[in-house]
Amino acid sequence: MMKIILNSDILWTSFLIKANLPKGLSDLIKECEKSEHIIIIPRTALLEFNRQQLEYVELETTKLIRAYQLLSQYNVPHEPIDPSRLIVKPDLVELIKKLGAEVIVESPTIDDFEKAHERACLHEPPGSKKQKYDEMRDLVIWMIAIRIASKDGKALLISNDEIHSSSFGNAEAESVGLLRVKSIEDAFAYFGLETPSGIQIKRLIEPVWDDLLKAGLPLEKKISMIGLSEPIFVQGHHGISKASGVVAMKTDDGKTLKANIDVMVLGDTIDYVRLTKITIAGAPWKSQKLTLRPRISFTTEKDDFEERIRSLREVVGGQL
Amino acid sequence: MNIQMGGQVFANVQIPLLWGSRAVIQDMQGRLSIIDLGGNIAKLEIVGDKPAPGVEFRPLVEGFEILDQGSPLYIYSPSEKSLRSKKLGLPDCQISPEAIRVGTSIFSGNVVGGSGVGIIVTTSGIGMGAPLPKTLAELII
Repeated sequence: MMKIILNSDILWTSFLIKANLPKGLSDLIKECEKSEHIIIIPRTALLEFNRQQLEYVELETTKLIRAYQLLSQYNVPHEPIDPSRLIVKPDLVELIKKLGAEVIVESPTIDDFEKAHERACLHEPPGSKKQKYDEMRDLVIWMIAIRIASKDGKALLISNDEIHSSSFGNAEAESVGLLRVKSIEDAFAYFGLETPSGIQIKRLIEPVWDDLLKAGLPLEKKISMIGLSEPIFVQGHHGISKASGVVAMKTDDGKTLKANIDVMVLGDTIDYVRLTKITIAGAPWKSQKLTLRPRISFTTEKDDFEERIRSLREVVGGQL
Repeated sequence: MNIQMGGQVFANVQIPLLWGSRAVIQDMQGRLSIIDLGGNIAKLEIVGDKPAPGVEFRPLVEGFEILDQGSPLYIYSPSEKSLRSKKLGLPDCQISPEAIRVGTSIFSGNVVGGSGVGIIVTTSGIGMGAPLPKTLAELII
């Protein structure tokens, strides 16, 4: 059991939340419920969430009123319903509770405020003199996260904020056991769940799994889940052409094999797979390097690039 | 070009929506394409809701993130038709059937004609019916 602290950028949406939270956030909360982790919403983040959702409420209300006006203008019979009955600000805490997870709204203490204030003025970590400005809200959330981790021995902060994820905060975070990930996808990887990047890299590695075994890697016989952090994919004309990152795979005795991975795809053929910095349970594996040139074809998803670019050219073409 | 997009009519414009240095164009199927005009030549980043060939990206639950040498530039959600800046310093942008939302501003039912750019979004503001910035590459794909 651990406390999972959500920053406001993780709660950000491009739309008004209605009955359910967005899928990524919802999946994360379900996982927290399963593992009995407690969700912590810093009050600062909750206020930012509410402000953003209220803006969407106003926008949606305006759209609905305009629609009523248009219907009236054309004498279309309709029964206007008070927009405030239809368009409401979501209750974040209730939506999280609905998914079964325990949630706490954590208010900053006076001590959190004072420490954040001091650090903002003195450009102290996790901020720095290099940063153009110190955002008090971010520092307050940082102080809440540090306080919780310090009290519990560990906590996980999910935030893509520059101050929260910068190396200036490393020493303090490590000293109290505050783990940090930058996105919901990174949190999935931390929990050992399949991520969209992991699914993609698995599709590329699956056809060469036997070759990896033959090359001596002590992996489990049948490919299971693959974790991929720091992923970079390059799109080709017919699907993915390159993939890289830090891969984590299960060994046949249940340990974790980690390596930097580069995969090159030519059309529907896997041209090479290169693993470097290979470690098993943290210890270096042999020379730590392995390169395969399988040149094996695999089933790619049918790509509709030609149709998509033609559609774009139809809109743009002939006008320039 | 003449295009109806996000509840607006753009008549005889060169770029309907310019998000920083990126042209945002919707095809007849409602899919978005993003073309970066900030370099010497136009660079396709998204073609019809999917990353363009040669572009670095990271798949996400909500869509994908366009990267530049591993560094995230922006997130695109095909289902929401929304763009969210990571390093560009621009307000988020969403194209729905009836409106274009930029940050908390909403454009609906406008007709923009005969200008370089229909709606221009910069780090410092939003404008309508603006000339095409001279520093941009020509939109040729």
